Amino acid sequence: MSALDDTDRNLLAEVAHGMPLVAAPYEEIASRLGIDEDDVIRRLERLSRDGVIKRLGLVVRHRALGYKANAMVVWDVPDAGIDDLGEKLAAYDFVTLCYQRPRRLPQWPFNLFCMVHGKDRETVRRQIDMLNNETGIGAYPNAVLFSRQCFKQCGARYTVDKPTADIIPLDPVDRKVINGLQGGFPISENPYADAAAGLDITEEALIRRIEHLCAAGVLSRFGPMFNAEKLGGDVTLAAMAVPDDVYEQVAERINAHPEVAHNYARDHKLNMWFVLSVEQPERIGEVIAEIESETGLPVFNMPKQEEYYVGLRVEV
Amino acid sequence: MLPFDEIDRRIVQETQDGLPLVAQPYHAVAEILGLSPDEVIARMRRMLDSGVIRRIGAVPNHYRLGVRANGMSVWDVDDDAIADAGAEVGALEFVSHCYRRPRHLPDWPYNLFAMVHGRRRDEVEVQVAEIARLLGNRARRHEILYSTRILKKTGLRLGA
Repeated sequence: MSALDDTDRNLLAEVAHGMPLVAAPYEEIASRLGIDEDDVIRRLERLSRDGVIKRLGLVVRHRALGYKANAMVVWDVPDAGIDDLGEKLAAYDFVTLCYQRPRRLPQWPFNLFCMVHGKDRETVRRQIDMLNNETGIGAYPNAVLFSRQCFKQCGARYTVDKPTADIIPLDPVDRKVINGLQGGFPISENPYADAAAGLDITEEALIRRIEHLCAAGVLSRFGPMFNAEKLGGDVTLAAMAVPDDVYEQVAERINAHPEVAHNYARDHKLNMWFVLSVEQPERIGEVIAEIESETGLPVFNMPKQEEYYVGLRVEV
Repeated sequence: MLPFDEIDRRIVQETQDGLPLVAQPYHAVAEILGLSPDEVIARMRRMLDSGVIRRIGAVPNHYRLGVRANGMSVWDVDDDAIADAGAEVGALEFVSHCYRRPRHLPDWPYNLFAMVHGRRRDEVEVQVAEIARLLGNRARRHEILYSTRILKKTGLRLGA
C-alpha cells in the first residue's frame, strides 16, 4: 500500500463524515482542497483500491445495501485484553464483523473494529451503547463512523453537532479532556487524579485518553508551555520571499537551525514565515544573518512591538 | 522576575516534550533529575507564578481538530490609531493572536497582525470582513495569508 500524503489525509477528512450534498460533490471537495476534480477522483479510487477508504466505511458499494443503517465502531484497547473484548463483541447478533487491525499512528490509533447493522441510526446507536456498557469496552477511546447512506438519511445535522475534525473523530470524553485541560493542570502529588476528578473520569482513564490523543496527533503534546521571553530569551517572526525552484532547499536550511520553532508556508510573495525562539536575545540577529548568508535571500524581521491578545484555547 | 537558575533550566529541558504520563509525573521528573519531588513541585509552581510557564495542559493541533484554514490577516493601520485599533481587534472573540509589528516598506506595508481560524476559508473570510468593518477607514488595506503547509513545528527547545 502506498503511503498517505497530506492531500490524501485532507481528502479523507473531507469525506470522513459523508459526501457534500451537492450536484457535483467531487468538484466541491476539489475546490475545498485546492486540487482538481480528476485528482480527487483518482485519489479516491486509489484509496479504495488500497483499502484505506474501505476501512473507513466509505465504500460506495454499501449504498446498494439500501435501507439498513450500519456503522463501523472502532476502539483503542490495550493489546493485552483485545482477544477477550473481541470475543465478547462478536457474540452479539447485530455485530456482523469484528476484527483486530494494526494501528497506523499517528493517523489511526484504533485497533479493534466492528460493524454494527440496524434498522435505523437510532437502533444502531442503542446497539453501540449496549456494546459499550455491557462489555465495559466503552471505557476505552472509541469512534463511530456511520456509513454513507446513513449520513444522507441524517442530513447535514450530523456535521453540525460533530466537528469536521480529521479521520480521528472525537468522542465526548475526548472533548471534555481537550476543552477542560488546555490549562490549569495541577502541580500536585497526584495531578492526573486531581484533574480526572474535575472531569468526572478515573485517573487511569485520563492518562490513557491523553496518551491516545497524543498518539493520534490531536494533541501536539501534554505538559507545560514555556515563555521564551520570561526565560530571558526572545522570540520573533520572520518572513522571506523564496523562489519556487529553491523552496525546499531553503526550508531545509532554515529548519536546520534549532532556534526555528515553527515554519509555515503561506500563499503570498513573502511565502515562508518562521518563528525564532532563542535563549540569548542577541541570537535573533545572528541567526537572521546566518540564514541570509546561507540562502542569499533577505529576511524580514518582524518582532512584536505590542501584544494585543494571545489566545490559549481552542474549543472543540 | 525571579531568577531562573540551572536547576529550573533542567526541569524545563526534562518537561519541554511533555509531562510523563504516570500517576505521579512530578515525582518521575524529580527522580530523573535527582531532586526531591517537593522541590520540583515548588519550582514548577514558582515558574507558573512568574510566567516562565504560561500554562500546563493539552496543546491541541489545530489541523487535527479540523481547523484547516489558518489565516494571518495583516492590516495597514494609521500609526496614530493603532493602539486603539489593536486593542479592539484583539478583543474579538475569534482572534487568537494579535500583534503590532514593523512595516518593511516598500515590500511590506502592514503593521497589525491578527490570526483567525476556521474549518474552511469562507469561515475565515467572514471573520476578516468583521475586522474590516470594525477598523473602518483606520485601515488602508489588508490581506489574508493562509498557511499552506507546516514546514516545521517543534516549539521552544532549550539545548542540552
